[in-house]
Amino acid sequence: MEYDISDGVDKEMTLFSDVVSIPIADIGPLSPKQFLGDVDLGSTLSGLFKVDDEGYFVVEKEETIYSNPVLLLHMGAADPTQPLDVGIDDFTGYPGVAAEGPAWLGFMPALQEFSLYVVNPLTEGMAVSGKLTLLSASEVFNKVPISAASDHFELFSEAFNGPSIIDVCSTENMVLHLPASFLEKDPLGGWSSIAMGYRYKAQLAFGKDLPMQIPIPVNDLDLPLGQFRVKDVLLSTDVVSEIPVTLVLESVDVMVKEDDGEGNVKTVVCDDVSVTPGLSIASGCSGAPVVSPLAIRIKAQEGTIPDIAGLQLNLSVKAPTGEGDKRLNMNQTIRFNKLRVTVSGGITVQGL
Amino acid sequence: MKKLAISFLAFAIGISAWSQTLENPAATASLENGFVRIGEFNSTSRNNVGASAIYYPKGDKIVTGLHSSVSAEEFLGNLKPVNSKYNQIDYKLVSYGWKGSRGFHSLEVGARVNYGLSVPKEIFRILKTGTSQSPYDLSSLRAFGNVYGELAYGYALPLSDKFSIGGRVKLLVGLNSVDIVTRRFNLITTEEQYRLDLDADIDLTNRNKKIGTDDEGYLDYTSFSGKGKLGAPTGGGFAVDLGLVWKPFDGLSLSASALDLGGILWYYGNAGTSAGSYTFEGMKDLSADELDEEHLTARLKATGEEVLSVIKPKSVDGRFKAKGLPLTAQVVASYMLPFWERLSLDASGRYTGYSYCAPYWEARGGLSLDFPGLVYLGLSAGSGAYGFIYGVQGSVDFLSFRLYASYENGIGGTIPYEGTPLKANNKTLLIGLVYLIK
Repeated sequence: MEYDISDGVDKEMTLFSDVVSIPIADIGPLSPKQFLGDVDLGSTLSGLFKVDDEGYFVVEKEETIYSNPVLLLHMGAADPTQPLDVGIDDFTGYPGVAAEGPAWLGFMPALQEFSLYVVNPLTEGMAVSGKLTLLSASEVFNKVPISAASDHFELFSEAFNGPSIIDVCSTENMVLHLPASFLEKDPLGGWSSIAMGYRYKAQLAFGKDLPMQIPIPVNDLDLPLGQFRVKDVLLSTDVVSEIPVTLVLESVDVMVKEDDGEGNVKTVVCDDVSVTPGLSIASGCSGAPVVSPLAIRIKAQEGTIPDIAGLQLNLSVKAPTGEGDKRLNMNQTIRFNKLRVTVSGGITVQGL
Repeated sequence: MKKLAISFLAFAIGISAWSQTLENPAATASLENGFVRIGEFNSTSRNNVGASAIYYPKGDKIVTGLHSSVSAEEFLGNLKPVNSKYNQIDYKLVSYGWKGSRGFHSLEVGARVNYGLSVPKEIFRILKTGTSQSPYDLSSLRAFGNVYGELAYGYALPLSDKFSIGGRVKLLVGLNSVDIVTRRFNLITTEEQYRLDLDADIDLTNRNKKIGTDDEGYLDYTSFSGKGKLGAPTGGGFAVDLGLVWKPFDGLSLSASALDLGGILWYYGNAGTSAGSYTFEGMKDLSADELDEEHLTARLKATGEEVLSVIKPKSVDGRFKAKGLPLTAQVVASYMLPFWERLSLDASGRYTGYSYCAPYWEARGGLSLDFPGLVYLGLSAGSGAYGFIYGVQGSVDFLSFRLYASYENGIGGTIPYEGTPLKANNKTLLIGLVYLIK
């Protein structure tokens, strides 16, 4: 009897056999800290630069040109009751060396700040004369007054845009003009020091393509897709990025669990499943995000997509394009808006 | 005269089966003697798609239409735009008919149960093919059930030897009713958005139980109050049956009737309305911290609750609703063959209109053989909304009792051992017993 259902009905059903699209989520905002924290590159980079209070990726260098306790200066003065001029040896410093390490990896200075400072612990002002040479420009100081109790008096300060690193700075004929009886004017009785130094800070941008791909493992995914006998899945999203780097997902390997026949389960790359290669997320900048439509197709060449144990993403980080502020900041965000999935060919279930 | 009267009676009865005689309120005009109908059971089962639209033999197994081996064209091609099932049971407890000075009177007490379900094809289309053919109109989704009693008085009057009219007024007493009706149920599915627009009512008479409500005002089907005793009726109504019989010349009888012109005004003490729109564009602002199973499950659950808040019916005050009865119109022609008055050639047409699905119609022709006081047998066949249909009617007299029955069905087979029709089908079974007063 053709329609005899007394032995039951096969309840296997393939739903949505043409196509079904499902909106999933808007994910974000995500920050570089969350990205970098899960990959080895984060620990490597943390030794090369740091994050300032505003969230910018920075390198900093501070170097002391001159430092001498007041007591020693008093003991060397011919007549401590008279004003004293103290000469400082000519100095050459290399502030840009701090930026050279990250530059090798592609992190170039976008904004550099250099300042020459003086520390005057006395209760009375003093003065400084001399010459500072920075890059190709010189600055001459002629008895510039330094106010009393100055912790870090900026004798000179300037900011420079652009990737050219300030590699050398030098001082010549620097003289400290101290007041008479300066020892009595030291609140610590001679134990504080008069000093001169410089500070260098560079806010970084990504200036050139990272030389190698970054492998990003996505472990413990455990997506049980095998039972649904799905063949073709398209993940689409609009990536909204403020991060001033270009990200390229060069390839994605689908990892599956395989039994070697002796009871040992290992995770291997599944050759039967292909994922769209060469997906690119355009660079943006703070306050001016850029939208990149992204479509990732996961397709089984033969059969259906198996249970996915994890993914291996191979990411390339490339220099940003376009205009705008390219400084990297931990507060910059990336969002995955309108994440949706389109399944073609149906989803097989055992009954509704 | 007596011979004429007996012949006339035989002729009258020979118009059609006894059940049809009593159905047309004008047909009793020609009866000379009264009757007491001790009981009549009439069951109608009507479905516009059969089980073969759902189940498909493939090799050595039976699969559903959603199986991958069944193409979308085949599965959806076997369904109707609105797939309906309707069942009705009429039970006439007692009827009494008596001849008056001019016409024929009748009194009847009975009860009816009817229930139905209609499901739009779009639901199956979504399940089978997916969401590419948005938007979807699912507003023909409906389910209902009613139980009501009837108290009827009929009068048939012969205006002449050739023409009779009749009518029946019915007082309807509503006992229980449930009705789920969707006035608007639109579903829009795109890659980026699912949108649901719903305006639906659920009504249930509270004759026995009162459904509770939860803290947010939604109907709570797990909470009931009431002692379960039989309560007062929850509806009242009125209906009219009209009929006429015309015999233009000897041997030919034409009759027409319109039945169940009317309805019931129900009071639904349990009433809820689901109305609103919900748009799902994915889970919003899913942060990195929420990308784990626990948080995702919680977000999905919250989304589900938002959808339910639109779908779940919100309790409203009890309300009155008027529901029309399925209206039936019927015409019958019967021609007594001149060479043998026992044998008649019959033709009939029937139309039933429903408020929730496509109407039912049929047209049949047949033969009937009548030996008054002994036996009557009628055979008919024809076509209708659900294809070929055939019927067998008969009655047998013993002493003063008449036992009558009829069976009508389509063809197409049934599920073995279960009897569910494989094709669209209209099946009726009628059996009754009447005492003829002589």
